[in-house]
Amino acid sequence: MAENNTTGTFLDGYRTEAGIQRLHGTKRFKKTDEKSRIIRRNKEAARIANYRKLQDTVFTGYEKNLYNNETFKFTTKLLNWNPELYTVWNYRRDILINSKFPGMNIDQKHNFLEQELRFVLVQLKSFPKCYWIWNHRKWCLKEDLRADYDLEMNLINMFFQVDERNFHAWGYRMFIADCIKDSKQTEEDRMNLYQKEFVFTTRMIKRNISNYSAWHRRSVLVDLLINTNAKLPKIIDDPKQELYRNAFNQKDKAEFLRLEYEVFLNAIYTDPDNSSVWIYGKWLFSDSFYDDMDFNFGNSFLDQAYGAVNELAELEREDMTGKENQWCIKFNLYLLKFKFVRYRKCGDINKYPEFLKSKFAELKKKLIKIDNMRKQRYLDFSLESA
Amino acid sequence: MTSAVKSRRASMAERRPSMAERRPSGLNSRRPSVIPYLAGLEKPVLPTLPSKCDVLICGTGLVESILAAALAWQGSNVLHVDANPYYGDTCATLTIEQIRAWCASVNDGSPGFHGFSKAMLHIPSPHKLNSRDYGIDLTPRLLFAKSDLLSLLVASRVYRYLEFQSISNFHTFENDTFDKMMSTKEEIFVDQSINLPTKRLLMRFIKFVLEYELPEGKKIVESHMNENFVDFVHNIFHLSPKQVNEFCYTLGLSPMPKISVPQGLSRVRRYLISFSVYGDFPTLYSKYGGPGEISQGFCRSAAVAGATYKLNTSLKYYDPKTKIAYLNDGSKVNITEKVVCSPSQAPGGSKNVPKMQYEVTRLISIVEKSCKEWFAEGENAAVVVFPPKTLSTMNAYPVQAIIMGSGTGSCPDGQCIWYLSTIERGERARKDLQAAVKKMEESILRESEDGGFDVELSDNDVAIQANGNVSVINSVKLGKSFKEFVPREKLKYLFKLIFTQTTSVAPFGVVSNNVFEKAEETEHIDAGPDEKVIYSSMPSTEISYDGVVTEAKVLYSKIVGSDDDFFDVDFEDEDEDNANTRNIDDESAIADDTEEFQSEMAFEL
Repeated sequence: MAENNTTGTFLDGYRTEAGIQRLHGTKRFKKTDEKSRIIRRNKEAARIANYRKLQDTVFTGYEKNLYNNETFKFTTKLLNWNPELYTVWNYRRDILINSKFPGMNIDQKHNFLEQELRFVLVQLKSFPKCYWIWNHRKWCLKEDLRADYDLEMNLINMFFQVDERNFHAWGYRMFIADCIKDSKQTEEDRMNLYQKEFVFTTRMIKRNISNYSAWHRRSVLVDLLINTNAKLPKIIDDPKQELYRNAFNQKDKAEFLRLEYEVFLNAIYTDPDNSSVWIYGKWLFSDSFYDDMDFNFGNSFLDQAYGAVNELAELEREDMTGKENQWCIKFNLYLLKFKFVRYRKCGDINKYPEFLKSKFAELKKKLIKIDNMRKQRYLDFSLESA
Repeated sequence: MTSAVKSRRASMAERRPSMAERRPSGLNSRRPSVIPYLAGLEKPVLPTLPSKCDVLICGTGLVESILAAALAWQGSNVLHVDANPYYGDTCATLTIEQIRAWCASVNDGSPGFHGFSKAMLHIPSPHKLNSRDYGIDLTPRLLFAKSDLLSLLVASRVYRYLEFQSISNFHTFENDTFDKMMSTKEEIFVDQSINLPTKRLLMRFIKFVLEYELPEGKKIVESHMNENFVDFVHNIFHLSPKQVNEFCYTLGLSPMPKISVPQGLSRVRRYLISFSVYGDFPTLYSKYGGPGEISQGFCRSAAVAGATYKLNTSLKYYDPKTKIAYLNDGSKVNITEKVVCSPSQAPGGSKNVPKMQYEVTRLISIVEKSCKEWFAEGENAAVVVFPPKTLSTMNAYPVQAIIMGSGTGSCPDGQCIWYLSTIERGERARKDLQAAVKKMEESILRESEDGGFDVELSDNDVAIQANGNVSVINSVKLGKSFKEFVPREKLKYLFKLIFTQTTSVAPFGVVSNNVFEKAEETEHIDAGPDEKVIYSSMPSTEISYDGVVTEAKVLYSKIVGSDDDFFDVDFEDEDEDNANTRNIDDESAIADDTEEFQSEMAFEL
C-alpha cells in the first residue's frame, strides 16, 4: 500500500477526524443528536452563568453608587453583551458625571465623548430601534460643547439608507436639525435648514410612499415654512422644488395645496391601500390650509379631490376582487363633512347642497357595512357633529 | 500587450492568495482566521488515489460539486474526479486558450465534452488578446437574491470563497429600443411618463404576484390554471402587451412564449421578492466567473470535509458486480455506494446516458467597448431580453443576454463580454442570436456616441423617468431617427463563439426522477461501461440557478436514501466560545435570514 504522500499541507491534516475537530473546535454532529443538545446546553449554561455574574456585579455597583474606572469598564462589558439594559445606561451616565467628567476641560471632554459616541454607534448598528441607545447618544451630544452636528447628520443619513422607515432615526434627525438650527443666527438660516429637511422628506417619500414618519415630518415642516416671514434661498436645481419654494416665500397656501395635491393623487393611485398617504391627504384638506382660503375656490378644489377619489374608488371596485376601498370612502366622507363645516363657518349651512347630504348618508352606510368593527364610530359621525 | 484587467484570470488560489485579506473585517467578525491553502485542490500532488471510496463523482460541474460537498459533510468518503485539467466541467470559466482547446475537443467529439456540439470560434486578431485576462463562462447564470442556491451558499459558508456583485438593470428590447421598465413601487410612483390609472394597474398586478399564494389569490389562479400567462395578465389586469412582455420575458426570464399561469407568476414573483433582500437589486453574480467559480467553492468545501480531488481523470469502466471503477490513470477504486457521472464525461461506449431532447444555443462575444451605458450606477453588468417576435428574424423564442463589463473581473478595461442564449433550435437559433447581437451593436454605438444622436425633440416629446433618464414618448420621431442613424464607428469584435448544448432538463422543469430509474432498471449483463452509473444532467436551459440545488438533493437522496441531512451541518466558529459574544443563536447556524449573514456577504455595490 502506497504511503499517503504527505506534503505537510493543511489538506492532509483535514482528512482526519482530528484535523476537522481542530479547525472548528467542535465535532461535526447532527443538530438533532441528543449528545449535541446536551453539549450545547452545557455551553449555554456556562455563558448564562457568566452573564448573570457580570450583571450582578454591575447592579451591585449601581446600588452602592460606585463611580470609578472599574465600574465603568464593567458597564462597557455588560452593554456590549446586552445594550438594551436601560438602567445600565443610566448608571453609566452617572459614572461619567461623577467620576470621569469632573476635572476635564471642554476639549478633553470632547475627545472622551467622541470615543463614547463610537461605542454607542456599534450598539446602534445592531439595535437601531432601541430607545435607550438613541437617548444615550443624544445625551452625549448635549454634554459635548464641541459636538459635530454635521457629522451626525451624515451619520443618520446612513441609517436612512438602510431603513428609511425607522421612526427612531427620524426622531434623531429632528433632534439634530434642531440642534443645528439653534446654532444658526438668522431666521433665514433657520428656515433654510427646514427647507433642506423638506427636500429630504421629498426624497424619502419618493423612495417609499409608505413612510408615515416622512409624511408626518413633512407636514410639520410645511407648517413652519409656509408661516415664516423669512425668505428661502434656492438650494437645489429642481424645478419642482422651486415651485414649492415660491409658494412658501409668498405664503401662497393655495399654490402649495395645488402642488401637493398632485403628489397626493400620484400616491393614492400608486398604492390605494397605503394609510400614511390618506392621512396626509386629510391634513391637506383641513383648516391648516383652508382657514383663510377663498370660499368658492376652496370648494372647487374640494370637489376636484372628491371626484378624483371617486374615480379611484370605481377603478378599485372594477378589480377582480370587487371589494370597496375603505380609504376612498372614508376620505370622501371626510371631505363632505369638511365642506359642510365650511358652509357652517360662513353661516350658510342651508346652502349646503341636499344631494351631498344624501351622498354622505350613502357613504356612511357603505362604510358601516364594510367596516363593521368600527360601526359605532361611524354612527357617531354626522355632518352636524363637531 | 499589457493587460489593464483588475485581476488576473487564473486558478482560485493564484487569484486569491489570501481570502482572509479580501473579506471586509467587521467588529464582530467571527470567521476563522485562517483559510487553508488547499494544495491538493489546486495542483493535485497525490500520485495514487485511495483504493476505496463511498461515492465516485465524475465531473466537477455545479450540481456535482454541490453534491460532493453535501456527501462529504455528511460523512461519506467522496472521490471527485474530472477529465479536464480544470474545474467546472460543463459550467467552467475558461481563458481564451482553454476555450480554443475546448472547441477543438467539442468538435472532435472527445470524451469529456458530450452534450456540446457545433462549436464555432472566431478570433479576428489573436495577438490583441491576453488569454489569461479573460474568464469566459460556458454556462452564465443569474443568482436571485431570494433563491435556494444563495441560501445554501450562506449556510455552507461557501460564499466566503466568492465575491458577489449586483445587477439591477434588466432591459427589454422592443421597437428598436432598449427599455427598462418600472417594476418597483418607487419607480412607478416617480415615473411621469405613465398615467395614474396605469400606475394603479401595474401596482395591482405586482401586489397580486406577491400575494397569489394567499387564499384569495389562489382561487383566482386555480380558475385560470391552464391559460397562457401572457393572456391572463393582459385580460385580467389590462396591462399593455409591451408591459406584459416585460413582466414575462424580462423580469420573469421565461425562455419560451407559452408558459402557464402558475409558472409565469412564480417567475415574476421570484424577481420581485428578491428585491431589497440585500439592496435595491434582485440579482447577483459572482466576480471572475459564475457557476465555474461557485463549483470551485463547493469543491473546496468538499475537500475541507475530506473529499479527494483529482483532475485529468475519467471513468473508463464501472463493474457493478464487483463494484470496482476503472479510471483512465490505471487506478481501480472500490465503490461502497454509488458512482455519479455527468453526461459530459460519460465513458466511451456508454449505453445509459439520459436522452437529451432539449437544447440551448449560446453566442459569446467579446467587444471592444465598455458598454457602461447599459449598467446601473456602480454596477458592472446588465441583462437584456429580446421578447418573441421583436427581432428581424421574427424569433419564436426570446433571446436572453447577460452583459458582463470589465468590472466583473472577467475581461480587461474597455471591453465587455456579451452572453446570448436561446432555446430555439438549429440554424434558426443561430440566426436569432446573430440578429440580437446586431441590435445590441446598433444600440451601444448609438448610446455611446458623443452627445447622442441628432433628433429634434421638444419638451412634449419627452418625459422624465424615475431613474432620471429621459424617455421619449413621441416614438414616431425617434423611430425615424433610429432608422436614419448611421454610426460613426463600427463595433470591434475580439471574440465570437457559438455552440449548442443539449440537456435532458425541460425548460423551467427540474430534473425528473425518472431519469434515474433507468440506471436501476438495467440488469443486462453486457450493458456497457456505465451500467448502474447514476447520471446527473447537463446544465438546464434556465438562465437562473433554479433547479440546481433541487437536482443535487435528488441525487443525494438516490445515494443516501433521503435528503433530510443535506448540508445539515453546524459550521461553528471558534469565536462562539468566547464568553463576551452576544447574539448567540446556535439553532440558527443554518438559518439564512439572520442579519449577520446579510452583512457578511462580500459583494461590491
